[in-house]
Amino acid sequence: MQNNIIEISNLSLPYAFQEFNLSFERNKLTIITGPNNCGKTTIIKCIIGQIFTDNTVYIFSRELEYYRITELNMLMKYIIPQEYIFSEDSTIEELQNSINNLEISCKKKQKMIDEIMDDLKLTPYKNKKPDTLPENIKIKIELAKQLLQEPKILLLDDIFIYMTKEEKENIINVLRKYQLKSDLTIIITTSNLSDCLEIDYIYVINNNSIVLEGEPLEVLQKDNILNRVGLELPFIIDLSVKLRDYDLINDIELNMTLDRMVNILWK
Amino acid sequence: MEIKVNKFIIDNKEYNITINSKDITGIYTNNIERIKKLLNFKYPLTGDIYIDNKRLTDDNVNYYQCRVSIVETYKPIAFIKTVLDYMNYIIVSKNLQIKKPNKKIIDSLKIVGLDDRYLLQEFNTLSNSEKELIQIAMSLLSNPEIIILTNQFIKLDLNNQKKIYMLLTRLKEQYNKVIIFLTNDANILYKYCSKCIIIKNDKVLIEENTKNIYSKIELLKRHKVSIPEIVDFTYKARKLKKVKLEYHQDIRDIIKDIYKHI
Repeated sequence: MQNNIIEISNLSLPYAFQEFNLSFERNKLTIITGPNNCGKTTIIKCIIGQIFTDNTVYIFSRELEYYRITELNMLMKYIIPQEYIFSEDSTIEELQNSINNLEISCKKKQKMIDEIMDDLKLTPYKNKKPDTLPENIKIKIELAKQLLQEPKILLLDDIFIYMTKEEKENIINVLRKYQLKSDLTIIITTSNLSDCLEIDYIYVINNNSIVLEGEPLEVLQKDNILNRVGLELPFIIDLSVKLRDYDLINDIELNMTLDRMVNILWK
Repeated sequence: MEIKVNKFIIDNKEYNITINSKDITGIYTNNIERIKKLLNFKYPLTGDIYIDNKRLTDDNVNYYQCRVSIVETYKPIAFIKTVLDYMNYIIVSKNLQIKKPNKKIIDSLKIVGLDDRYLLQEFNTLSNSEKELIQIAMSLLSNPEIIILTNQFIKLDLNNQKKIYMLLTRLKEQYNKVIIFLTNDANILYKYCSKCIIIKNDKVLIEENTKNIYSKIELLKRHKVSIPEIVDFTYKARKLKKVKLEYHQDIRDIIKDIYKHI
């Protein structure tokens, strides 16, 4: 309980959830997944206060309604694709603007910006106008802006649909780095189970309730339940689970590669 | 219906492709915007495009442009709140000549499995998948003959993907519509398209039925074209262990095949 940074308790909305409960552990990377329309974005919007909830969301055991807006803004950042606004003429200015208020030296600010641009591979877009860039780059710029402000909670709503596999891996690595560096709790929503391999905890939601929860390895083995709710397992995990059911392999490994699987099957 | 693009030059690159209504055609490209513009006949005619053997000219290009519909991603528009507002806005802005617009709007929603309760719902309260389904419904308003989808499937879960695939198959088979997917997702192409055109570095690398294309793995790997994992697994088993696995689309089939060869 003490380790939970966010708690949703008895959430009831007219068009979704009834007495719904959910909690997120501090300094963990948690994924909320489920089929389309299961309420993933609704949960994010409840946490950031875009949907009014009457004393049902708690941040650090304190009701959301008791926080001042400025306080919440410092504590929590979020990205909902296509709901962000860029006001500057270049990526670098956009990032500089986002940390104007931090009381640190200009030199340090520049170092932080250079580091995050390098991490997220944004350097080629340094002088480009963010508004004119493709959606995947816009998201990365927005992510850089939010990470620079060192929040304690970061909520990312379905950002991976715009990314290639390599970009996703890179973003997870960057998030992990900032998670360690600044005690960051990350919540990501997705409909794609391939995004769930390198994370700490998964919630699978369907029909307004949690149908599965746990660590990735534990959850991804429940192929029947996941398929029934309309989620497709990553190929290699799906293959591993089915081969194990036929006693052709013994263990499921999250980081299994195609080459390794071939070598296990045909020694 | 058949669209034949012959020696069409864009930025000094030549495009030759053929698309017909017999297949659901997938185009793998990193430059989706360019191909979208080419198939929407928006470029000046710097080459030949034939539609059912009729050459596109400056005189008839407008007529054919109206027969193409691109399923776009939703972007908020000022003062447009509800789905009905949005649908009406599309009818007016695209100058669609529809006798009974309300009936047409409701019919289009029904086709994608949504009922008329959605009409008064505000767009910002819809989920991503609902927005995508409404965009598909919207693309049907003009009764197009060529429907182009750009990465829409990525946002849908498995059940919704299957539902939209069935709908597109029905449109192709019953109404002879040309269905084109523009994507760089190899899994989507392999699963849902019967014919594929692979464009790499602005050049058509290969144009064939999907199964044939994904049996030419060496060629695809050489050109760094992404390959569905199910195909790559089979390829590796065949190459590294000389196992005679067949290329399958369904994981259950590959499991049976593995069982036979263990």
